Amino acid sequence: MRFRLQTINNICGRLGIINEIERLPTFQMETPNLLFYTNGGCIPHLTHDVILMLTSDVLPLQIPLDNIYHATEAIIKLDVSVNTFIGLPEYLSFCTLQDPTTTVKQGYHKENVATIWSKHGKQFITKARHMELMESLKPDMYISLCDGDTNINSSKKRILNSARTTNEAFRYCYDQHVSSPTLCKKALIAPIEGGYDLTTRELCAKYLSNFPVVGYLIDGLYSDGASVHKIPFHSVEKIIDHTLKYIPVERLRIIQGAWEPQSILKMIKLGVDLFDTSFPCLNAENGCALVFNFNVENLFSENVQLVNLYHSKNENNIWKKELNNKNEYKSNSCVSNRDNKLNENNKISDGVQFKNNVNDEQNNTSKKNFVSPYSISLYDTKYFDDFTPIIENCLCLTCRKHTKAYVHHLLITKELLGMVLLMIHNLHHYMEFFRYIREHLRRNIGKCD
Amino acid sequence: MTQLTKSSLKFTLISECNVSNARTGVMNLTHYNVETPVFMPVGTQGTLKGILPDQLEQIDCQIILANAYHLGVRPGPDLLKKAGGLHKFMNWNRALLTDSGGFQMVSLLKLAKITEKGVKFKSPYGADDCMLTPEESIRIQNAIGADIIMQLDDVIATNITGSRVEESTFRTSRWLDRCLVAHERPHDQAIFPIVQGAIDERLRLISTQLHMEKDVKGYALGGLSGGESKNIFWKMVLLSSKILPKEKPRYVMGVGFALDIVICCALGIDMFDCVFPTRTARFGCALIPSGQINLKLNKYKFDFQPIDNECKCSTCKRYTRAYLHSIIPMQAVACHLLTIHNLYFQISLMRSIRESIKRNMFPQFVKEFISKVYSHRPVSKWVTEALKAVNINLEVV
Ligand SMILES: [Zn+2]
Ligand SMILES: [Zn+2]
Repeated sequence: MRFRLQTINNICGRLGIINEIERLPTFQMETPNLLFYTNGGCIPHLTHDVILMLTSDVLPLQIPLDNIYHATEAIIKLDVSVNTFIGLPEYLSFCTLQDPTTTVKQGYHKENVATIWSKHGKQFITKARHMELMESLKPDMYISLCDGDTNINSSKKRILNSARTTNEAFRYCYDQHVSSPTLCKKALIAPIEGGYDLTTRELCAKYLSNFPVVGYLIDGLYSDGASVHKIPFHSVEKIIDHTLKYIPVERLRIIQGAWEPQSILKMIKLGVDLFDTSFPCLNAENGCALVFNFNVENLFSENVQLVNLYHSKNENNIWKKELNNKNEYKSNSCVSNRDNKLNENNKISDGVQFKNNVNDEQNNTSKKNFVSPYSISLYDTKYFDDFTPIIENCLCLTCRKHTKAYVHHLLITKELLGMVLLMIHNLHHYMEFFRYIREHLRRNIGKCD
Repeated sequence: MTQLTKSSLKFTLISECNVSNARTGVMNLTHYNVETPVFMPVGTQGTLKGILPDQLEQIDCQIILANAYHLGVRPGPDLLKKAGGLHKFMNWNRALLTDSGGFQMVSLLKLAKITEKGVKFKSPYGADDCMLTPEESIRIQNAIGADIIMQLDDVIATNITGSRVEESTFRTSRWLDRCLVAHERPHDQAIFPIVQGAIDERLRLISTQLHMEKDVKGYALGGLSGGESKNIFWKMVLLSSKILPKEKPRYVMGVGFALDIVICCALGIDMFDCVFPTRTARFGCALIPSGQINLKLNKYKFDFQPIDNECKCSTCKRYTRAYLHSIIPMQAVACHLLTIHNLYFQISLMRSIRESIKRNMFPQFVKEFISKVYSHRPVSKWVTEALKAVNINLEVV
């Protein structure tokens, strides 16, 4: 695989091209772009014939090892690649470690192993096991084994442990990678850890920049996949900016997770090339349709507003206020700590305990309570008799053929088609958002210089 | 404008089997011309289990069934009227049939009380008592706007005998009269009466004859998808189909196992519906010519074949048993893939039946089909007898 930077621009972001995939010689993808989140090897709710109604593009799939792990026994025994096994051989595969939309259970660390939670429970993955699995799965891109179990509240000790385990594993995986006839033709992506500690980030980035890998994944920024969109950009800005300074500019940079679109724009401006579809998927999962307007002139200006098409001007201002007030995130970011003894951050353990007790209740009502300034909830009874599409001019199948009243009915009656229609619209909207970003970059390259 | 006399249903026979009672034809309905014999998948709440209308068209599904009871509760007849009918609400441009709701009343709601006025039941979404009368059922079905609507019938459990059966039979006829009076859209919605009479030959005969006196476009046979013995089932079907007018379609309600469909076609039935293919998909099961396979079973873990090597559906073209096994039941996609395959299986079966009748090969088709189903065991007595009754002799090769 090859990544080629087309423009280097420090004001708007960068345009690049991914191609020369060994297995897919005609594949070409422009960046900034999206990896398509999969669970169990499928884009949630979408069969291949429906994906074709969404797009005829060859999609790059993000395949987290934890949610496909249960199938690795069959993949190995059948001696097929992960692409062949999941029935999507013409798509590109990027094998990662943790599902970006779920919560990483914290506090399960062992020296030199990564802990993942599969369908069958806790699995300890050693670096040797990881490379055996990659050898069998044969993904087009993959990351080396990493311990990304850090977030804004992690202690220095935890951060250092995560960085050490990850860097040591990388060293091992890199050697295996270059000596394996199968893997050396695939793209190895190096995960950069360091939590929210600038010094550790710098050390990791510098160390990994010595190896000729295709790209880097900035990992270890969050633990709770379902609330990434609440993380204010300013809390990650310095970390990303600082990390990127120490890796070669011409290499691919990837960040995973359901960051809010406004943060995505800022990350693109910092020079990140690839993201994933966690955000549209999580919105759909919660009955929400994306309705933000990205069709704005100065997409990368400091005070750009991706307004919600359903909100009046006033309401959008209220959202803006709330977005700026997201410091409460800090205290909530560790909702899923299961084991306080192992949790090195004792300061917040009381809050953690409380959160755990109400977790189940929250899960039951969370679907109706999930709010995002970028979407509307189609559970809302006000759409009961709204016979208009989600977005009037949207060209997706859902908006061309179905109304909000119908999607509302499907959600209320718990019919599976509701999720299918929301996924189609949300993915379409998000892909269009990225298409618009690329066009915008192309148009404004000159101006930004 | 071209067809001022356009009727809600025009049935044209294309071919009849020269051995058995099987026939193939076309039903011209308001929204689509449906080829018979036809299987109608059940889309209870205005959606077919996660499948897009476009996908249904791709597998050549021509008519689906919706349920007046469920749709009457959610989203309700007023909204459906506002939407311009269910076709527009769900964006399905082919034919629809609605069930009257009587069956759901009795099977879903244990507390339903049936009186001459109608079915009284406790609303599942509120504390109030509700009453579904024949008039109300038709009002809801008129709002839904399906091409074919069903009368409200007095449904009884299959194991009931005695005077209650007689009451149900005659009450169903009285309710038919009320439905016909209440029906406001006879020009674009065809109403079918439902033959009742449980497993009492005398009552079934009376019920059939009473319905034949009415001005209707087709007939349904009800009360035959319960637990009654197959030996009785086929006799009840034949009893009615023998005397029903040839030029009108006949529909056996709730029948959907491939074997039962093939036998009923031989007995002269044109329409079928059943939740089975979609329901069994939700439980991880796929239909194959010899029956069904449960993909949850561990033996499919390393099975890298499609569900059915012969099948040309989008699932079998791309996905394997091993992959399906790995995503059942975690991923909704597994359910969609199995639903598509099962519907394709069912729809292909109907196409084969129609083709064989057209080519005058239906008896051969039946024999081949039976030999596949019974490849490892002796053919059931009821199958042999039912086919013999319509001149298909399985013993003679
Ligand atoms: Zn749309
Ligand atoms: Zn198939």
